Amino acid sequence: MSSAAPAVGSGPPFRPLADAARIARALTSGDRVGAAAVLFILFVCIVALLAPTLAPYDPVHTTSDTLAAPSVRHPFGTDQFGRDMLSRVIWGARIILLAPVVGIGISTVIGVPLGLLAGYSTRWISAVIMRTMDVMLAFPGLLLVLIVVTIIGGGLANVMIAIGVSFIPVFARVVYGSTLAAKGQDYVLAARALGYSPLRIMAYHILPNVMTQIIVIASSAIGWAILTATTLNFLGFGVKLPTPDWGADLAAGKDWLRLAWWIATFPGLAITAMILASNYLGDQVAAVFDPQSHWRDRASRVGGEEV
Amino acid sequence: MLRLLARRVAISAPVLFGVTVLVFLILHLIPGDPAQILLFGSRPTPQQLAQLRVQLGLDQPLPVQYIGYVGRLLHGDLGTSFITGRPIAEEIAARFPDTLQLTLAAMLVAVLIGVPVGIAGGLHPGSWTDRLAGGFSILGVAVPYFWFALILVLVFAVNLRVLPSLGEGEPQAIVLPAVSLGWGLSAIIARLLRNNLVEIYRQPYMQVAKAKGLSESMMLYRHALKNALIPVVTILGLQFGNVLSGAVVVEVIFGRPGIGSYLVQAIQAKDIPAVQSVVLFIAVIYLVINLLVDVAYGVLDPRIRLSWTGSR
Repeated sequence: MSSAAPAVGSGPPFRPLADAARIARALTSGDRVGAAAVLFILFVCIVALLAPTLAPYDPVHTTSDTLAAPSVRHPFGTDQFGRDMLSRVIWGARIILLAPVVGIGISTVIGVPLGLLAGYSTRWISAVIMRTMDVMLAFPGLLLVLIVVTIIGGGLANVMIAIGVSFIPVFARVVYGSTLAAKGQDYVLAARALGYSPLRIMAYHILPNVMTQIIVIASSAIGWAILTATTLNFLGFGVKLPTPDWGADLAAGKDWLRLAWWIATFPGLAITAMILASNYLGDQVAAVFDPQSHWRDRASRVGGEEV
Repeated sequence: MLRLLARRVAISAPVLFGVTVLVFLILHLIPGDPAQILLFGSRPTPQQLAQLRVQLGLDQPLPVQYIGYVGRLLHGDLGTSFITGRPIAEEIAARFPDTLQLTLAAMLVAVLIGVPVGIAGGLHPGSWTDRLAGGFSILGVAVPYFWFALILVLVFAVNLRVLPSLGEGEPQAIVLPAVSLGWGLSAIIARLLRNNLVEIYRQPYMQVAKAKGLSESMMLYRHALKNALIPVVTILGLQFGNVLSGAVVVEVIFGRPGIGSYLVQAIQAKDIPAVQSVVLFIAVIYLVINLLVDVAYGVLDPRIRLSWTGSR
C-alpha cells in the first residue's frame, strides 16, 4: 500500500522559536535565492498592507485614458476601462496573500483533527474518515475545487473554502499515518497508563510530534493554493471584476492581447514570481524540518489508496 | 498479474462507490430545494415543481434516490441537461474526443520536452546544462499554464503569426493549447528523469558497464534510460487526470470545444446534472488510469514498492 505520509511521525519535537531561527539561518546562510524569495514575499506583504498609500491611482476608477501603453504616468499601462494596471497589481497582492493562507488554514484546522481522530480512535471511525478522504483524493485537485464551488457557489470567500476543503484529505492522511506510528510509542503508552483522556493525549502528546510534518505540508501547499486561487479567479468563479485581482485581470487581458499585451503580462509575472518564491520556500522548509521525507506531490497521489 | 489486478480492483471498488455517492450528493448539498435548483432560471410554478419532484423521485428518501441514480448510470443514462434539453451522455460523447486529443497531445509535448531536458541534466550533474535544466523545471512548475497560454498566443499567433490561436479543424490549432497544457508536466518529467539518472549512474552495474568499456551513449540507452524511464511512465499515468482537468482551463482560453469548457459552462449556468456527469466521467477515467498504472507498474518492476517516491 502506498503511503502518502512520510513514514514515521517521530520527527524532532516542535519548538517554534528554535525552528524559526533554524529556517531563517538556512535561508540566509549563503543562499541568495532563498534570501531573494523571503525578501520578495515580505515585499508583497508590505505592498499589500500599504496598498492604499502605494497605489498611484484608484484601482477601480475608470478614466478615458484606455489601453494606454506602459509609460511614466502608468508604468504598467492601463486596461480597457482606463484603470491603472500598476494600482490594480498592487491591490491584487491582498487577494494573492489572503486566498492561500485562508485556504490552507482551513485545510489544516479541519484536516489535522480528522487525521488525529482517525489515527487514534476505533477502527470504525477511522475507516469512515479515511475512506471519505480516499474518495476526495480520487478526484483531480482542480476538479474537487470546482465541485465545492458548484455546491457552495462562487465568490472569493467560497473559493478560499473550496481550496481549503480540497486539501483536507492531504493533511488528514499524513497526520493519520503519523498518529498511527506515534500510538505505539512509549510516551503515548505512558500517557495512557497515567489515565489521560484521549483528547488530551491527541492534543498534548501526539500533535506536537506531528507538527513538523504539518508545517512541511502547509508550506508545500501554498504554491498550489496560489495557482488554484488564481485559476478560479481566471475562470471567473472567484473575485468579480472590477475588484483588482491578478487572476481576474489576466482573464480580462486575454481578450485584449492583440491591442494591449500589458494587461495580462504584469499580473501574470506577479503570479509566477509569487509561486516561484512560495515553492522555493516550501522546499526549503521541507528540507530544514525533514531532510529524509519524501514529500509527494498532491497531484501524483494515487486515488483510492490508503496509508 | 491477474492477482494484482484483482487486488487493485478490490481497492478501487469502494472508492468508486464513494465517488458516485459524492457526485450524487452534489445536487442535495446545494442549499435549497433540488427541484428548484434543477429548474434554475425558468421560474417554475409550484405545480411544475411538484411534478418534477415526483418525476425525478426527489420526494423519496435519499438512499432510494441514490439506488435509482446508480441504476440509471449503469444503463448509461447520465440524465438530461436542463439547459440544452439533450441527454448529457450525448453531450459528453460529442465533446470528449476533442478533450482526449488535447490531453494526449499535451502529454506528448510533455514527453518531447521533458525527456531530452531530463537527460541533458542527468548526464552531467552540476554542469551548466544541469543548471539550465533545473531552471527550466522550476519555471515550468511556477508559470501558471493559463498565463503561459497567453504568452504563447501573444508570441506565435499575434506577433509571429505562425500558429493559429483559435479555431479547430486545422491540425496546427492544437499546438499552442497542447504546449501550454503539457509544459508544466514536462518540467515534472525533466526533474524526475534527471534525479533518476543521477541515482542510476551511481549504481554498481553502471560502474561495471563503464569498466567493460561501453560507450557513453550505449550506457545511456541500454542501461540507464530503461530504468530511469519507468517512474516517468508512472508519472505520466498519474498526471493524466490532472492534465485532463487542466484541459478545463486551456479549453476555455482557446475557445476549444470539449468536456472542460462544457463543465465550466455547466457550473456557470448551474446545470447541475451536467456538472455531476462530467465530474463523474473525469473521476472514473482518473480512477481507471490510476488502476492501470499501478498494475502496469507492478508488472514492469515488481522490485520497486508500489509506493514510489521523488515525484515532487
